[in-house]
Amino acid sequence: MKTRCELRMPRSMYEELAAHLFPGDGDEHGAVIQAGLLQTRSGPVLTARSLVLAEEGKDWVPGNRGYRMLLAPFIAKQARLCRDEKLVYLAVHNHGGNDSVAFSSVDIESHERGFPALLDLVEGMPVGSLVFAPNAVAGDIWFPGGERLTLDRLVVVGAKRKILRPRPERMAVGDAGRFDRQVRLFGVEGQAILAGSRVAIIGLGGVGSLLVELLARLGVGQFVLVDPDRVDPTNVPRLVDATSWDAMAWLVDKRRPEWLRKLGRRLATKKVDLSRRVIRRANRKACVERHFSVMEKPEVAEAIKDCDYIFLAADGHRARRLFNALVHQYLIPGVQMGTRIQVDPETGAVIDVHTTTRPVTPAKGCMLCNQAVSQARLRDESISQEMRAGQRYVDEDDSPAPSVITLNALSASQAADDFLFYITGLVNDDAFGGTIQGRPLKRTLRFVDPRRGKGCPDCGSGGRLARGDNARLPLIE
Amino acid sequence: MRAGVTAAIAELREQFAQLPLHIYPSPCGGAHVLIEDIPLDAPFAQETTWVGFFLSNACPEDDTYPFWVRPDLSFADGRALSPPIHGGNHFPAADTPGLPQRPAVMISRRQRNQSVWIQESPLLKLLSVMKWMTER
Repeated sequence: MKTRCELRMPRSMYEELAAHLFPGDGDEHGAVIQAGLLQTRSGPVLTARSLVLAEEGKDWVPGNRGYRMLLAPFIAKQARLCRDEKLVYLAVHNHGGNDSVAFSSVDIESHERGFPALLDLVEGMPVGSLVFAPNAVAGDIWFPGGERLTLDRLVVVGAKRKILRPRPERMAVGDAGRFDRQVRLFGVEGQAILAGSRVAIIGLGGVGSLLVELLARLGVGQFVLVDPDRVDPTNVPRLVDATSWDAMAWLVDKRRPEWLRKLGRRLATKKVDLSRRVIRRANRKACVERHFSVMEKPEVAEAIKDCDYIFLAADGHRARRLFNALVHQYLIPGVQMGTRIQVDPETGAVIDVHTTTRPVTPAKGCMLCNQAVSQARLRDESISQEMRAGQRYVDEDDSPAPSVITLNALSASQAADDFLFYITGLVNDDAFGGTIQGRPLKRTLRFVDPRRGKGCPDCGSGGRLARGDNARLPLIE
Repeated sequence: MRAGVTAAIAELREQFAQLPLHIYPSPCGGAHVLIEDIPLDAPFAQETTWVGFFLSNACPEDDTYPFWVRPDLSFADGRALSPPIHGGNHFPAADTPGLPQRPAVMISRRQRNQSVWIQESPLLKLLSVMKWMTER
């Protein structure tokens, strides 16, 4: 398999860079990007962490051999920072044109003259160069040890995805006929984007199960499914395609002896297998990678690295903590979904019902800044049931929370729609990017704008943001 | 033990280098910690106490609580203990190999500041709880 090289960049950085490179003067401009490095199964991914614009006449001057160049002291300063922070050094400039771009022979010669020394300076990290046109980018990336890769694509991550390549890519039409009715909305290009996309779904319970059905029927091409549970009789009303047979209901019935119930629980269908069945029925060609485990496993994080989107449909705060770190460290957008039903324990009266669809991107919606991860809940989930009982000083209820398929469908459907319009790039630039809460008791929707805290270890500039492999993920050993 | 737990224990050992400090690793990667002879100033009748707590495998991401101290803890002026100081408890909260349960007073102080994500190390949390106790 050909080794691919990808660059991910937050939208705000891309907009700042584009404004600097293309101010309307038709001239060339320069900058440096410092990026994290992520080794994935399909090749290296560079995660743009910071952008330094080269000042005209000071850092970016007329060249000795080419038209313009970055001055050596500017290069050395940025490269030393990359060495100290273990980041990839990327020199940036622009050319004319619009939808295609390539390095000039003078550019390539300058790489061959300068990059070997630069590699020595950054001590073990790659160095490279990017050349931009308004709708294209090419890259020449040099790795320690002599490997040299061209950049396959730049993924601009934010409320709306944008892909830049060296030249326009020919899209395979594929199953356009089968998807005719939806192709009429987003075109064969949109369908090809869906077929080429890879998504992770964490949690295959009430919400995750519906998501699987929706995304498979949309034509998403690759799935990473993560869930440690098997189907239980109480799940059957909420899981797509689940039957009593999947739950081994006749064996796990309370009237059976414990040894038989235990056997039934062991024979029940894994939720990852049930979801694969649902995907295969909708789309035979889809690739499905299953992880019958919790999210906090190195192999799960590894599988998520080259995903385009992460759906968090698991309840726990440990999963929330890790999900938030993955979004920010690897620059993969995602969404967290859930339903909350509050019932008065005394009277049984329903106090509140709300569904949540919370987009989380490197630029907006950080779950730490928005108090969506509780350190007390993290604690409770990290100790045994016996310990929880032993340190409890008020009566608390450990029984499962209420869950209803129609409520799950609200957040699953919103999340799948958000993904569809994000990945195809159809969402409006000014679209609302915050959390949408459904309030079925009042038949209203609430739109919640996310906050951004200072000094956040995930979304703050001093933390794990775009660090790639060079920061330890929380809760994973 | 998980790396976060090991790091937290190293920090505790450095701070309480003069005091007996015992570690009881748990199978899930966490550890029970027991520190003896921690000085207790006013307002308590006792001069020292032992302090016990559990570091979970989520350390340092989670909130370290509760803490357990000697079972006869009492105020010097005769005031009764009141929540979040709870008498009649045991440390550790569940059966732990090598660490027999002992009677204890439990201090259940959760991290209250939810407006920002503060990663407070178990040492800092312990010191802040001890300070809070002496201000009762």
